[in-house]
Amino acid sequence: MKKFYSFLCLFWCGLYLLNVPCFAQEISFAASVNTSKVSLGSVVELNLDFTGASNIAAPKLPEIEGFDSRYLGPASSISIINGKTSSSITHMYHLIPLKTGVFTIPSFSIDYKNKSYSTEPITIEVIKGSVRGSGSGAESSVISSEDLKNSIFLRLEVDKKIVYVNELIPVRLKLYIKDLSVGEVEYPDLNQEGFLVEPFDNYEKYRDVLNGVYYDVVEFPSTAFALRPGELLMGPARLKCNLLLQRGPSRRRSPFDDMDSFFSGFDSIFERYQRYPLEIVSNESAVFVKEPPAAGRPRDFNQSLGRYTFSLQADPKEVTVGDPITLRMIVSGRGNFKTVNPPELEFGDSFKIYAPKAEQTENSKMFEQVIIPKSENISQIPSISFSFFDPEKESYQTITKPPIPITVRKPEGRDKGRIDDYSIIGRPQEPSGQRDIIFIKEKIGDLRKQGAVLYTNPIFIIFQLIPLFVVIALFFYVQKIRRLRTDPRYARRLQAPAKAKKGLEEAYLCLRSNDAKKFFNSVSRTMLRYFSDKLHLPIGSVTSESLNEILAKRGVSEGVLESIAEILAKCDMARFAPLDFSRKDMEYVYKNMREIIDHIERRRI
Amino acid sequence: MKLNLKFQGFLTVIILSLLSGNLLAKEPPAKTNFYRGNILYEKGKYEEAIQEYEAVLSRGLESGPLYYNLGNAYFKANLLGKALLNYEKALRLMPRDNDLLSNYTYARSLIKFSSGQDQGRGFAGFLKRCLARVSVDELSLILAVIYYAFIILIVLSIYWIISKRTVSSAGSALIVLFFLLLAGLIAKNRQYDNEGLIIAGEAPAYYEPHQEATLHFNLFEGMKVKIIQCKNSWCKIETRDKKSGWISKNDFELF
Repeated sequence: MKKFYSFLCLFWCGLYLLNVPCFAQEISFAASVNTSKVSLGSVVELNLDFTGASNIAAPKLPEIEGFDSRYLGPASSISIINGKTSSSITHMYHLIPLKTGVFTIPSFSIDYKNKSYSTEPITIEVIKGSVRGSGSGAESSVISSEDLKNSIFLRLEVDKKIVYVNELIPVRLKLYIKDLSVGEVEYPDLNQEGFLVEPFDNYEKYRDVLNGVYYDVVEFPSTAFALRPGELLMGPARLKCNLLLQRGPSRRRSPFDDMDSFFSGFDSIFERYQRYPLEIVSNESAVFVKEPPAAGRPRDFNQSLGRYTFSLQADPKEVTVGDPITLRMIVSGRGNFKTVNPPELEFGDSFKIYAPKAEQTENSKMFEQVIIPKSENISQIPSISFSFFDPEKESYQTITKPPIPITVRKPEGRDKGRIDDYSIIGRPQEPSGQRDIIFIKEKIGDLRKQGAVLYTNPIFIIFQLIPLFVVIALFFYVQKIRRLRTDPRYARRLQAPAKAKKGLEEAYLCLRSNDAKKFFNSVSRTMLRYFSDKLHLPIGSVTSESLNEILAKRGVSEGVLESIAEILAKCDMARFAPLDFSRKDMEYVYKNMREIIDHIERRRI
Repeated sequence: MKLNLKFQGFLTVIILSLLSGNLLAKEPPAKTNFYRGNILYEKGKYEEAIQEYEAVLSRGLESGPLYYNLGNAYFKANLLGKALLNYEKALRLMPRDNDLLSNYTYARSLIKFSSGQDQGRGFAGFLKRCLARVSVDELSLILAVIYYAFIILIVLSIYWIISKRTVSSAGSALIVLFFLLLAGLIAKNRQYDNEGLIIAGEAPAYYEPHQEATLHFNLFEGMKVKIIQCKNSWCKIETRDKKSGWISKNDFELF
């Protein structure tokens, strides 16, 4: 164990010694305040930061107009990041405003190791009333929309203001945040006409001083290039995030309270915080875009801009006619690789050239191009040159690679598998080695209307619909048959009118032969059977009384019921009493019976 | 008897002449244009042959051999893009014609920077290759046959002639096959709707739809492109390697 501790001590000592030279870092001196606007009665925190040294005594502040100052103490720190050590000391002061107005904290100077360092002056506005972020009272104060603008904003920084078309422009979007909790920050959106902007996909977080005020900064770097010449405006960029505000009874009414109705659906991440979606819009930045000069433009210039080197490789260098050679053309360096196009190959008819395949990395672009020598007389791949415009030198550059010697052999009895003849693999090769197209067709074939397809042909459609209807009809038919077999009530009800029709025909025949007995027998049978089937009753239970009761419940009118009773009574009289009925009586009964059956069928009783 | 024979001969001549006259009168002029085009082609008068074939097309008619012959005439007239366009149209109607396939692949091999046809790998590639060998009408017929088989299956199931298990397994297989081929049919139609072919010798593709825009890349005669959208006289296209740019409407023709 002792051994382990001694090893650990040695290790840390070594590490410390290794890092000693790192202390000899650059020294910076900056002054910052926590707010640029303060109310009377609050305090401003003034920090004097020395980076690169930790043994600097607190400077004595001079008299500052409008403020009384008080030294709070130092705060020093040493950090080791990736083996690099950095030290800093911050001397903190409280500035107490004495009157309202706009005051300037002057520049402070210190001398360290025979060098003088000074800070930038800072302007502070002192007002009456309360201001959010003014000193220690910040937590309990409100946010005004003006404060929000000062507390969170997006800045678009374009490094180059005058560029060429297709020249790469570094673009930075910086989100400045002060005294606010912000979450769920999305990557900014900078869709710009006239520019092609790489999507933002990384960021860096740090603290920075802007106009003497400390901000938390989220920086989104990217690149863009202009697509056309002219005076173009880049921006504004838009960024979406959520503002996190503390809930609770102590919170006073804020301007966002008015927006509650808009954001009624929001929910809190934590119980104590409430989210307010924000869209922050950046400033615009003017960029003047010009075309690369026409003077001195090489013939093979193909919109490539940057500072590049160009290399060329060919493999294999010994081939048979028809075998492929891969040319690797690598453009590397700094610039806009998106617009780097492959060099034009001016090989005449000696090679068959295929479309190049491009592969791009951060600092290079490789074009793989397959070429096929057409003849064994070829001894070299001709020189290839790559031209580009260098925006730093403001001139065109051309890199020419010398011809590459190759050996092309005559094919020996090999007549298939050649890439240029891939279309006829598996077919007999033309003996001459030269191809042509096959002769025209003698017959015109089936002429038809242009664009006419079978599935839009009405006959075809009808043929598709017929089986569908057949199946549907079949389905209902089968269902009906099954019901007739299994449901006697349904079957009887369905058959009742047909049977009644037969009975009516029979009665009519009796009527014509003037046979009263037979006629009334037929009428009685037809009526009883009809109502027995229709109402699913045993035939013996069908009487004038029972029918009267059942049919009255089903809404049959009194007149019809009386007619039924009358017919049945007449039938009974004819059958069982020796009464003579005239033909007129029979016709009357027949007519009545017909009407009753029609009425019952029509009313679907 | 002699008179009778004479009369019969006379009648035959009259009927034949009437019939032949009738036939000539009934022959559609479209066919005449086609045969005239063939004669001109044989004589090496390709431009005139093209006019004759185009005359048939201008009547709103089409056929596989017509497009094939027109493609051949354009090929001979050194208009590779137009030749390929007509071969493509012919392929829609007779996708398994060996002469056509041979001429088409040969013409494609002459495209500058051509990289051959890639129909993908795996099952999707297999399906594409299969569908490429079938015309839209044939595919419609196959679908109709599957549909009829399905209907028959339903009828049999109504009468309980076959077991429920057989119905469900055979029915599922038919449904899957049907929808697979239906998807193929839709894809095939969509391909014809939004694919085009470069007919200009060299077609510059720009970043933006105007002449002053920055050149993105060049397309060459005969290359196939997918049309994404059109704006005035410009269309946004996508190449097989997913590069997109704006080209003039005059530089390409839709299938």
